[in-house]
Amino acid sequence: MKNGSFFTPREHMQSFFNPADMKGAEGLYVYWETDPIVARRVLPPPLEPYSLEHPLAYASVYIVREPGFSPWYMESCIGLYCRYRDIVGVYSLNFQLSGLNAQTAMFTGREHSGLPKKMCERITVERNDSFARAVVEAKGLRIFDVELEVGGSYNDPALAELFKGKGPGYQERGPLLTFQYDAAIQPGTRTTFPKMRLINYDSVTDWRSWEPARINAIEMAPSLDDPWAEVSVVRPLGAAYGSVQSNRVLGLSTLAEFEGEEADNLFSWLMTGFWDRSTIRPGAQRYGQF
Amino acid sequence: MKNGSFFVQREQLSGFMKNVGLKKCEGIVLSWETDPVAARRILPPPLELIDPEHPVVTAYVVNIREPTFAPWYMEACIGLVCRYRDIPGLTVLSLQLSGPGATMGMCTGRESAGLPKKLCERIVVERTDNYARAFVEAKSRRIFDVEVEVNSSEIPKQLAQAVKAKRGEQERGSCFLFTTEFALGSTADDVKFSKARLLNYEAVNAYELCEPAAIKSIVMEPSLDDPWAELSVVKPLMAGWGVYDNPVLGSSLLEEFEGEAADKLFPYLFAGRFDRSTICAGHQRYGQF
Repeated sequence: MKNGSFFTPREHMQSFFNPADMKGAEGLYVYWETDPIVARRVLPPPLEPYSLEHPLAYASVYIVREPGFSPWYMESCIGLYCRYRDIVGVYSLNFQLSGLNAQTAMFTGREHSGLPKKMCERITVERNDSFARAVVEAKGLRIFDVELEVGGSYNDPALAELFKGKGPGYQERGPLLTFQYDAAIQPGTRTTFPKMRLINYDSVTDWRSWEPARINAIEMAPSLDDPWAEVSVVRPLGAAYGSVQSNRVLGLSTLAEFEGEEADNLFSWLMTGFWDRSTIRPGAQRYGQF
Repeated sequence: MKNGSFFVQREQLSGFMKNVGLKKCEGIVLSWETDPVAARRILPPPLELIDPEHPVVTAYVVNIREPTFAPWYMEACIGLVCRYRDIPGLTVLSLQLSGPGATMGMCTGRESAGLPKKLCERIVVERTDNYARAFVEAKSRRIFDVEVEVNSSEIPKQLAQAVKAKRGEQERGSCFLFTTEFALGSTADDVKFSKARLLNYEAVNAYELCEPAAIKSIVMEPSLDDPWAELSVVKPLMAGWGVYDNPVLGSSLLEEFEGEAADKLFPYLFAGRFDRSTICAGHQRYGQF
């Protein structure tokens, strides 16, 4: 049997994370209008909701069949459309990943790109004819469960204008806004964040297919650690069953830097996406069969 | 059902990763002498072996029953005894974790302290009378499998006494860890370390129970991603069954590396932190997990 080594020659690592490509993704892409009070509460400054009165929330649940950096894994995310100055982008509140293969995507997403990723027990995407469904289960709770009718129209016809042209061969480029942090550990005090950077995670997506769909149901079980239910559905807008040829990361660049108190204050917005409440209160425990 | 929020009030965060510790760890701790060629190959500079001709490996497989930052989880560790200048300590080569608290254990360990942690399928520690066993399964390979006899008559008396004497003691020790930063930029460029820091991560082992044990067998299956088998057993040294607390005292900076000097560390730090799928084009894994 072949063995590796705790020493890897540098020349073997020229292609480390190159390409950073989430090839062959397939799943559900879901859009709804959420509560404006919630959107303002959960969006970290200096980001602002794309629409203050009618904030646009999204979730996607998919398999990444051929990532450039790991075997296949399941992934789901929830976020808000937002703006930083004149840049319109999306801010991901949380990603959930499942399967043993998912860990590379999780820790590199967190450590290199500032993506708030966690592991969960189970993510399911299924489709039969025009019926499609996705489920995300984290810490014994079904935090997201959506049913779609594929092949018809969106719930809100306005979505057709927003996604005009999406289909086979359509190329989409858009910024994902993330935060990278430096942590400081000092004995006797909590871990602090003396530096934060707002990052433009620039990626391009080549769509293989995009089938508009109607949202028939969205249910989100409340959860202390993974509160997707906070981003409540005021009005379902529509969804799609889509598949991706390629979703390449073009690069990361710094949009803004924060230091001292200003940086540490951002922790309130990042805590839940990245960590569980067990890190702020001793005595957490979870037993059972997993 | 109670719901959380993606915004957490600042005053609720005052305990975040404060007074970190691993309480009520229980399982097997052991050491063996390994191949000096392998030890020299994998030890990151500027660390040096204490005895270059007879390098010592330390490993443990335990249930961390009460971590201060997560529910319980299982953890297995392999490292080399070494020194930084005149400070003796351990360089941790790989940690494998499983169980309900493992995700938080992995994320906080990697991100805050530079611990080379990965998740694995299964870690088992068991004991029946004087027979104890532990094994670690990662990516379908049993990368570590040890059997020990607790309180065996084979253990030299002096050594057995020394192990038993740990009970009630507080043993302070250093781990040498590296935190790293990647350079930002276009993904068309090679990914390189732009900075690395060598830290002295200090912790205490406070033993509630420590029983000497004789190593009966160690079997390590080869693995491309988790090559514990590289630390082959030249001579089994000692084992123990312990119940202990492991409070972390803190980390201090020993040395900083920038640019080329930082990137030269990547070959030593890669296998503990990443899988080979990140550096090769053809990779896939299917099956039931």
